[in-house]
Amino acid sequence: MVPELSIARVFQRELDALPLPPEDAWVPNARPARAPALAMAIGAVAIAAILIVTVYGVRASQDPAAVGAGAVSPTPPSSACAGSDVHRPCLGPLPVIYRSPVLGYNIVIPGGFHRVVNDAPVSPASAGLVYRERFTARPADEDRASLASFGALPPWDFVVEVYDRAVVTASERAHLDGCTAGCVTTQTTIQKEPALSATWTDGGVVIHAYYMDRGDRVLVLKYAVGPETSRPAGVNESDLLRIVETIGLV
Amino acid sequence: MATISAAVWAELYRREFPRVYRALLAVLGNPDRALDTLQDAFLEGLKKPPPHDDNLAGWLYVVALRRARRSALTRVVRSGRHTSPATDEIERLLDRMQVGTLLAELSERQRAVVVAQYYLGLDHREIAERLGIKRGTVSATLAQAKARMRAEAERGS
Repeated sequence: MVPELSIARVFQRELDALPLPPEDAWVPNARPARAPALAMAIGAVAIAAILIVTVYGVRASQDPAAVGAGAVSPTPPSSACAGSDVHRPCLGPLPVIYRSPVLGYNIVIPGGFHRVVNDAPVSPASAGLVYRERFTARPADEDRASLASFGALPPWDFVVEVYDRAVVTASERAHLDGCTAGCVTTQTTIQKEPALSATWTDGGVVIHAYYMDRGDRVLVLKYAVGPETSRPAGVNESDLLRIVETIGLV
Repeated sequence: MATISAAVWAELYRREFPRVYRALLAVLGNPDRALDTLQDAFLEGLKKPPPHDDNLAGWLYVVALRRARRSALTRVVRSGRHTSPATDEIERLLDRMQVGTLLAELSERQRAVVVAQYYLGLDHREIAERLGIKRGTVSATLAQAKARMRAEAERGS
């Protein structure tokens, strides 16, 4: 007997485990020759190394500013790539996990990112906002400049917001954020939980946001992709997407 | 979907790529075909974005499957071509998986419908609309596919 639910479970579990081709082959015009076995093997080893580093390399939590006890102290902003126009190799090798069990998520941030301490308050204040944290790969001075230029969601930063669901729902929040005319929405899943995905443009910046109703809270994950000139060295969009994909929901 | 820029389309496509690629891999059983047809779907969307914006994964999936059908003849002609060890390894991996066993005895259309429902989460109405078949045909195809999968599972247990 193959009950419906178990078929779905087998499909989800096993197909999600299938390896993907290298990212640079996804979009046709960036497509290289077919990946040879060696490249696949190297990729697998690299992923394994990252996982090991993620599991064993996490530093202890000392960040009192985080609402969720267990947030991990961030890597200091790296200046190693300052002035470099080579993007990919500059991010630090150690990802950092920020734990927010109180708010129901664990987030893995690439090594070159850090959590912005004393982030500027969102103006105007968002109704029902319980908690907000922003991660950036920019050093403090560049971060201040990008905030001044782009506002509360500078391109190439990653933002997590938690709202009181009694005040605002996920879809209402999407609308309030700017997902109106021209916004593309899809129903998706993050870690097997339903989420509303929204993409829209705002002044030359493409904003991607994910809205999840979770109990009495609404969890929002956001990042923006902006002009090349605003991109911090070492940051790639796939880094931001990976943060979404690897979030742990507690 | 409203007119969108190539950059936004590329972003949306990248976001859906993992799920749709894996779905195509399950149906077509070959990583090269899955990638080729999904890239074709990307190019088609670049020229003419999908009319619906509610399930982009579903749109990419169906367009890619259509492409796969069209290229079937070419594939037969090229069937003697060399495949990389990585491709072979993924095919063997799929064969070893329970899902590979369940899908092995199904026709390509049955696999397409089964994967659309159980992996991409499309309902009967969406599958019918997107694959251009009647809802009754979807139900019948699924029933036949489930019967075969059940038989396969019992044989394996």
